Amino acid sequence: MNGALSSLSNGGTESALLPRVGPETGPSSPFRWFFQVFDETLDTPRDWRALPPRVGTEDGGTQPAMIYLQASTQRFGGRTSALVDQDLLDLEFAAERHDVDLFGYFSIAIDWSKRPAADFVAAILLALQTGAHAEARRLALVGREVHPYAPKLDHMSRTLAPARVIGVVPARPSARLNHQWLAQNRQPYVGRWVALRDGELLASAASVKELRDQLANVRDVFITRV
Amino acid sequence: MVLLYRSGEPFTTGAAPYRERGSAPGDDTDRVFVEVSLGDLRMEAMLDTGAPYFVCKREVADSWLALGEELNAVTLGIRGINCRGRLRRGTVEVVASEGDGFTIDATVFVADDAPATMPECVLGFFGCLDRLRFAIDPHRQMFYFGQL
Repeated sequence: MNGALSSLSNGGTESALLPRVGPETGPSSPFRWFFQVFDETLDTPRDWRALPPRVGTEDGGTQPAMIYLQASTQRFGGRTSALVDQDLLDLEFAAERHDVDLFGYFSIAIDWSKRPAADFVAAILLALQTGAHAEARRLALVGREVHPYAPKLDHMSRTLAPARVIGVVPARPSARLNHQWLAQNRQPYVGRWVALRDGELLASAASVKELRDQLANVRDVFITRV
Repeated sequence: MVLLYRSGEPFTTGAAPYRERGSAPGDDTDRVFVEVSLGDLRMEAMLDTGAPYFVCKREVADSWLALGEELNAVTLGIRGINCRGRLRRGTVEVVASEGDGFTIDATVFVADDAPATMPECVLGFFGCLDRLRFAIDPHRQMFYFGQL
């Protein structure tokens, strides 16, 4: 981190330290000011969070900081000049804390209709990391609507779609036989893996892999650790 | 095995015995394990309504799932623990010893670096078991389930 920003994060005066390059020209953000911080300025976006929430403006006052960063190539998989904005940083912040409520709070406030497909993908991955699985699904479905021709989003929405019962299958009486075998014979095999078929022991081993290696055919074979 | 609503409508139409055991070696807390069929592979999966999807370790997935397109490597937060792996779709049969079993097309998380305490398979709620009704009878150690 360079000297100016280091001192800023240590409590320096905003207006004296922040570069003045604004106003931002985004059509939906007339009040946003931005300053560009290039890759060499900040080590990680975490450093960015050390900045104060408000930044200096050209008229000497302050404005809420809605700061767009130029992402580091290291962090974003070699994609240079990808813009990372405060919204995604907020989602990342929630993800690091596994804070599902906070993630939902940030995500619902974002106008996803104007977001590129890459932002959806990034947000879905962050939602999964957070444990916000319903939000991950919602973002995937919204993303597919906004970007119907983005293959990655299409795949994500199919993968995260609600489960479906696709078949009714007859009972397997062997399930009870295998269960009875385990109830009656478990003691010598505690801690080991066993393979059973129709209530009869086929093999036992110390690991699943060893057990699989002993079995030529696993059809209708029940495998479990005792 | 059918459980009925007071109205006479079926609540569940299938049942199977479940087993109680620790999630992994060293875990002496009894968990509920039910039988599932993953293609030709029949195994036990730990019932965990706090977990999402159907979660399995890589070695299980390699024996079960055909090669297919998997989602990018993801970090999944399960009960506050980060677990690296991949997401995809898969078909899981909840095995019945009486009545009907059900085949579910569900989201599957294949864990590449599962914690030692994680069992081989976890039958999660969100994205998997949330399409079934289910009930447990600890006295008879029976798992009852039915289609929504």
